[in-house]
Amino acid sequence: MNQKLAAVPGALALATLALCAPAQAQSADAELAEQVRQLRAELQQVRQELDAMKKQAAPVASTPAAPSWSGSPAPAVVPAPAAAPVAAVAPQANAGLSLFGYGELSYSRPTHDTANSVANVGRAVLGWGYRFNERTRMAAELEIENAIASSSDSGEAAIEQMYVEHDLNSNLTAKAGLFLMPAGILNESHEPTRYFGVFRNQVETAIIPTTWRELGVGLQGTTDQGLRWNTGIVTGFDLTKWDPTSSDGRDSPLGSIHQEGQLAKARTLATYLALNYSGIPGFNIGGSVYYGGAGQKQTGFAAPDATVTLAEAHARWQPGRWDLSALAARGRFSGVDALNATFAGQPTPVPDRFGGWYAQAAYKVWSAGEQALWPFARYERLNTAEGYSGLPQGLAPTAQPDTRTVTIGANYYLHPQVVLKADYMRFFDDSSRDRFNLGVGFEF
Amino acid sequence: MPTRRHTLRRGAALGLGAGLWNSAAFAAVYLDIEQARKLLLPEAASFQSWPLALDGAALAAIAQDSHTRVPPGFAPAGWTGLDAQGKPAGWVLADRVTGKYELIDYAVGFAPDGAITGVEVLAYRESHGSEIRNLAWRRQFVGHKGPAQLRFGEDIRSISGATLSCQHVTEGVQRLSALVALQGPHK
Repeated sequence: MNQKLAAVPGALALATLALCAPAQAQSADAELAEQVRQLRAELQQVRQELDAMKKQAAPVASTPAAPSWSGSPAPAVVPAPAAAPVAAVAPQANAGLSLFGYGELSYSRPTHDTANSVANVGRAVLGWGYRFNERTRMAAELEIENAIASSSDSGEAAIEQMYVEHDLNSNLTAKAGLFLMPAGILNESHEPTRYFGVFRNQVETAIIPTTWRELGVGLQGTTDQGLRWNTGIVTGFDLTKWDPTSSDGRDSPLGSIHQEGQLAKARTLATYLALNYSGIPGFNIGGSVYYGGAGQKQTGFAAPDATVTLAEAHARWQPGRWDLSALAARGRFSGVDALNATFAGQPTPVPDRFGGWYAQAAYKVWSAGEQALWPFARYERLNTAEGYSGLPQGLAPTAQPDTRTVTIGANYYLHPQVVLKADYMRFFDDSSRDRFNLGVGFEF
Repeated sequence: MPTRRHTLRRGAALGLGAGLWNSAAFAAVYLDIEQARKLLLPEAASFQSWPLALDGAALAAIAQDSHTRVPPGFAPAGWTGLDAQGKPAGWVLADRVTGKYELIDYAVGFAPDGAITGVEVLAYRESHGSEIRNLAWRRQFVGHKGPAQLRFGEDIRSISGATLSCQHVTEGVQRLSALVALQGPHK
C-alpha cells in the first residue's frame, strides 16, 4: 500500500513531463496514453483502499482502552525511558475511570420464631477508581446498608473505602486514606461471591469487625516468591462509645466502638502488620496483628490509656474441587479496670479478652460452563466476653458460654460473579437463634 | 533451558529495577514486550509480526471455544518466533484484561504445537491481586494446550484474595489459546 502511494506522485510527474514533450511518433503517443490510463486506474484503486482503511480505523480509535501494541519497547504515550508498558492507552477523557461494586440481599427465617423472619437489602455498594497516571490511583466505595438511610430508618450510608495509592516501585505500594485492614480472610475480600453462606461468618463479624477500615497510611510489599506484607499507622477505636447498657458490645466488641473515618478521635494511633504467603497456587496462609489506643487520652474518661490488641491467623487450601479454610482470632482490651468499675451492675462491661475460630469445608459437586454448585459446612466457636477486669466478684455479669454454631448450605453460582445462597444455622447453645437463610449476591 | 530463562529473568529484573527506580512514570511494569518474548520463546532468534484476523466470526469462535466473553476492545498482538534457521519456533501473543478494576498487560508464549510455554505479566496497576505475578502461579499454565485445559479453579488454581485477577487472566489466556488453535500459523 505505502509503496503504491509513494509511486503515484513520481509516476504522475513522469506522465506530465511526457505529455508536455513535443509529439514525436504516433506509437509513442499511444504508449503514453496507455500508461496514463494505467496510472489513473492504479490511483483510483489506491484511493479506494485508503477510504476503506479510514473506515476501518474509525471504530478502533473510538474503543476505550484499545491497546496500541508495539513491537518496539518505546511507545509514545507514556514517558518511561527504561521500559514503557507495551500497551499504552491513548489518553481519553474517561480512560482512567472504572466502576465496580457489589450487592447482597437476604431472607432470614428463625425456625423457632418465624414471626421474626426478615427480608433485607443488606448491602448495596458502588465503587469507583481513577488512575491519575501509571503509578498513582484512587479507589472509593459508597455503601448503603439496609436499603434506606434516614433519621427514621435503621439503614446506613457510609464511605467504605477512600484512598490514594502510589506505586513506589514494582514491589512496593503506599496508600493513604480510609482503607480496609488486612485482617483475616474476609475483610479485604468481603464481596458476597467470595464467601460461603448467606451471611459472613460470625468470627469475622463479631471478633474481626468486618468490614473494618481505618484512616491512615499504609505500605504493601510483595516478593516474587509469593509473600505479601502490609504495615501502617492508622486511627484506632474509640472506647468512649462503649455503651454498657446495650448488647452491642457483646455482639461485636470492636464493631461497637469502631470509628470508620467519621470524625475519628485520633489522639492515639494504631499500627498493624500482616503477612500472607501465596507462593503455592491454591494455598494461602497468613496472619496479622493490630495494636492501638482506644481511650484516646480523653479528659474525664475513666480509661484514657486503654488499648486494643487483635491478632489472627488463617489458612485456605483449595485442592481439586475442595475449598478448605480455617481462621482463629483473639482480641484483648487493656487498661479498662477503672472504666469497668464505673459499669458495675451494668449488663455489658468491657471484656478483657474475646476470640474465636472456625473451620470450613466446601466442595464443588457440579459445574457446567460458568455455573457451579458448592455445598459447604462450617463450624464456629467464639466468645465475645471471656472475663472482665475491674469488677468485684459478684458485680461482673456471669461469663457466657462459647457460642458454637454449625452452618450447612450451598452457594450456587450462576456466574462466577453472581451467586444464589441457602443455608441453615444451628446454634448449639441457644436454639432460639437457629435459622434458615436465603440470599442473592453479585459483584462486578 | 530453565537456567537460561532464569538468567534472562534476573537480568531483566536487575535492568528494570535500576532503570525504573528513577523513571518519571511507570505502572507496576515488569517487562517490555521484547523481554517477555525472549523469556517466552528463548529458542527464537528473531520475531516477526503475526497479523491476526479478528472479524466478527473469529471473535464468536474464540468466545465459543474458550467459554468466555470476549471483552470490548479485544485486540491482542501476535508475533511469530523464528529460530536461527528461520523456521517457526512458536508464537507470542500479548493482550490485556481487567483485574478487579484496572488493566493487566500480559503475554503468552505458545510452542509450535500450540502448548503454552509461559505467561509473563508486563504491567499491573492494582495493589490487590498482584500475587498473579508469582512464578508459581504463572507456571501452572505451562504445557497446557487449548482453552479446555485451562479451566479456572480446576486446571488453574486461584490465589486467595486475588480471585478476580486470577480469573480474568486465566480467561484471557483461554481466549489467546483458542485464537492460536483457530488461526495459528501451524493450522
